[in-house]
Amino acid sequence: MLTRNDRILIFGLVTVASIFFVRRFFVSSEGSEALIKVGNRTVQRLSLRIDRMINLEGEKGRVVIQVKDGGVRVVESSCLQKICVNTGWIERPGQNIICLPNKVLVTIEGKESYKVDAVSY
Amino acid sequence: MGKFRVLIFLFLVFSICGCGEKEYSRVEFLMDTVVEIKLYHRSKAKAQEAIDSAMEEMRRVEQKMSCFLPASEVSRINREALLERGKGSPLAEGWIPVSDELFSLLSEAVRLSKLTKGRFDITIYPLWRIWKFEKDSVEVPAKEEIEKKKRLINYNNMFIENGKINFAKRGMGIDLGGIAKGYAVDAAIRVLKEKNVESAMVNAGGDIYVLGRKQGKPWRIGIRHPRRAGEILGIVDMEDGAIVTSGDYERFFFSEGKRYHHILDPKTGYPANECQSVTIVAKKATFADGLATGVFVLGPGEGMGLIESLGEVEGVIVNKEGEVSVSSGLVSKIEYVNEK
Repeated sequence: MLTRNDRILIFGLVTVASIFFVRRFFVSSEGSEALIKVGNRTVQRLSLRIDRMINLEGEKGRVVIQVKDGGVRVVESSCLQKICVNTGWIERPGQNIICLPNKVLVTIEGKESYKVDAVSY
Repeated sequence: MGKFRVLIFLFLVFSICGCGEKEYSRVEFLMDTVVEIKLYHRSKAKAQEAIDSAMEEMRRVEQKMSCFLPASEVSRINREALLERGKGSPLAEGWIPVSDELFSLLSEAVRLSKLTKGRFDITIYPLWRIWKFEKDSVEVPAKEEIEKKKRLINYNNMFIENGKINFAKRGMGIDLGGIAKGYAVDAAIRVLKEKNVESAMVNAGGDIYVLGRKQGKPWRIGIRHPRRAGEILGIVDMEDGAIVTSGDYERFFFSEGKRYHHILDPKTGYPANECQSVTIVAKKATFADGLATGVFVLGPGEGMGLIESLGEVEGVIVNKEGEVSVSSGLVSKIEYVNEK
């Protein structure tokens, strides 16, 4: 037989479980943002839902960043090796593009759907 | 009494979830790379203070160990090593003083050189200088120049004793580039532990150490795909350990259609070409960092043999054809990712 307290307990557990369930599955990929840093200064935080081009002044010169269809990439950079440009599009939280010569960092924030906490490279 | 039981039970459920701990993180450009520190803590103030101190510690290590900063201890040693010191054997006089901290890092470097039969060697400095990767050079040095500098590389010609260092040949010098990032990561972790942080990750350009578990679960660390930027090869679950990858994709340039990357083989004087990437999992980031470089140069066969012979060390090697081999202790733990 269930006592009154048992019912409170079950109700409580179900409530807690639902909160976690809702948080995990519905708040996740929504609202991903790209964070752009130059050096240790945050330049911009932008929603990936609006397509646009952004011009930045990096340490060595101009860096052009494009946001399109929920992804972001470096289109143009004044650096020599173009590692940033060659990284191509990123779209998942946790991914990032780095231009060391220009000290530009583009990283996608949001609940990590990529399933990893960091990447060893 | 019943209601109390319910409350206590609910409290326990919340505690197990680690609901009181929040994630705090910061990203900074440091040591010529991007450094990220992430930790879980109940107090925001204490978390920020711990991150501040750990970042500060990494800056301190950089100021001391970088051979690109003229004011560092390593640069001072390299300058003094160039000076004429006594006639005849330079060994007779002119020992250069070394701090205790650098001395123990040098000893660790020598241990790694012995393990890798000299394929990881911090006396690579004169050779590294003419390749100028740090300056984004796009020129291959002249062959004669490479031959000349190559003869100066040999850790057996570097003598270290408590508090001092000397070299058998003039023109020798040290470059801790293959080990300093890992050392800085270990140093940052030491500071975080002192601040009573129990769950944290320090990531210096892909040289990673994870402390404890992340909200009750192991940290999940991806290994970069060596040929597809932005994609990962596999995932390893980790707690209390280091994971470091050396890859040929990090710094490179093309000259006359040929690709030259930054991991130089002390034996040939040219970039080592047997691997695309080497990932080492070990107890310390310092060791993992140097070993990843050494195994990369040794190549897949000998490299995997070395990994297997060491206790508490695991590894993943991607050879030049892109084939992946995983050490025995990691085979069942690595999770492969199929993307795109």
